[in-house]
Amino acid sequence: MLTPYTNPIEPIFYPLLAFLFCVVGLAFLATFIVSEITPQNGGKKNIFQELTFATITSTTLGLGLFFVLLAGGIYV
Amino acid sequence: MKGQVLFFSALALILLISGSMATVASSWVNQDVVRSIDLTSQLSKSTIQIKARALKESSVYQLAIDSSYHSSIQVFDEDSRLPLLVKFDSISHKKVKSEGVLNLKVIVTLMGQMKPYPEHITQTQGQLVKYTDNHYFSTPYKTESQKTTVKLATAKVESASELSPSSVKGNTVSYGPYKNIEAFTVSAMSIHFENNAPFLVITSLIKEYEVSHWGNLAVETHYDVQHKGAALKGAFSRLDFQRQPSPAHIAEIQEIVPKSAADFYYRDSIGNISTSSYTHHPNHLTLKIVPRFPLMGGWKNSFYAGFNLPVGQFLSVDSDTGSYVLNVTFGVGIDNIYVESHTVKFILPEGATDIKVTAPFDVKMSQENRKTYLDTVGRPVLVLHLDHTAAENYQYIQVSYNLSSMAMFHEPLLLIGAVFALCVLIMIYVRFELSISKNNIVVDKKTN
Repeated sequence: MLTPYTNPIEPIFYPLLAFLFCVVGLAFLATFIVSEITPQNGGKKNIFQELTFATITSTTLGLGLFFVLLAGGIYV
Repeated sequence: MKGQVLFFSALALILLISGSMATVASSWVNQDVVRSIDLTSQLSKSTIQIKARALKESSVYQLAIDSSYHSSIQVFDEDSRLPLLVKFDSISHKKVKSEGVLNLKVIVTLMGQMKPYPEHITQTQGQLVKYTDNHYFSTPYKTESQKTTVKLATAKVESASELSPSSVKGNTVSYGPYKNIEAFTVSAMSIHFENNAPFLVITSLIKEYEVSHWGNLAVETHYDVQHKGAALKGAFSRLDFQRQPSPAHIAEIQEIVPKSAADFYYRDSIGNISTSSYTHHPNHLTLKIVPRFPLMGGWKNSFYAGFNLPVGQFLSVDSDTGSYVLNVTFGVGIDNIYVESHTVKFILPEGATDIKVTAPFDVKMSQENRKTYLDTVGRPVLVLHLDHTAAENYQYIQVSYNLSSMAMFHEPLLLIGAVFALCVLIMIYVRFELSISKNNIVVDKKTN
């Protein structure tokens, strides 16, 4: 039995998703960089907190870039 | 010319009859054969209605086609209306018992069988062509009764070979009925007439389908075209062309594309060509390609065009095996086109395995690897190749492959990884002490 393939997300939503993920991602990246270069707790850093922040940043901005490609017609 | 000339050797015909000729030749008798040959385009399209009686139980019916002809054959069972499998010149059908009757409809498309004669014409002259064939139906079996009707492009007939009873009426030439003709009987048929249909030949066609599971099927076609009618004699005059258009020139090419096609482009090696348009029809779109210059006899041109399709209409999932099946046409939707070298490429998603092809005709297969955006090991490219195609253009072929459901998340993960690497770089950077003076920290403490 053959059933038509359905893609996970409708292509019509790609530009919106690209915009939202990029805005949120860039905001997280900016916050991450600011928190990195600001001395806290007498110069000591919490590596787990940093990595958590980095993960959130990379997921949102990575998806943002991915949807930018899809919205731009580069169907990877 | 009334003389019966053996213009193609009986040897060539016999060579075509593969294997046991003795058993083949005696297994059928053609009771009635009606041929209608359409010569209104550059292709010769013969529709042959065959009523054959089996002399003994058989499941293979054979055709005799001169090996020097470029032909493509489609066969339908007239009783069930279903297409039958054709391998070279053998038609496989359901078993027919001795004295049983088989009704077949054979469509033979001959390419390059109409030769321009004269070979060179001036810009304003009409194009005369010469068509050669056999007065009789070429067959390895005895034929009891047969009749042939030839439909020409124009009623301007210079000459037509005669074999009584035969007649020329307007643009129709009819031969027969002929009774009790032995197997492999050949009598040269030759018709010389005016045919100004576009003799457009794609000397090399490369069609690419790029599958993305994120919702797109990109189609790109590279055309190398040539006007293979009578060659232009003398220089081309644009002024004469404006005043009195040449009867045998090609100004535009119309291609039928699926209704859901979008994002068209049409380019050549110089860049974008703006003279293309598409029009909507109930079941399809017509893409009108106007080359940079009109094609006169013998002239060549090459360009490429492409569009996007929603993948969901062409890709299916086999619910039993979980494999994906892509169902698309093999060639281009240009009417009466003849392709000399036909290549179709399927660029499948990265990680696709078990690639299989189902085609209603024999096709050469090979595999390549191509790296495009966000690829690591490259995408598998299935290459199909066939020489001299006409009817195959419109037929659908199926490509099936397996792909793990995680494979399509490879590209977003790659980008997420890249951004994560950037964050880690920032973390490493801020941990280095890069300032020259050590006082900074002291100053900071004082201000705090």
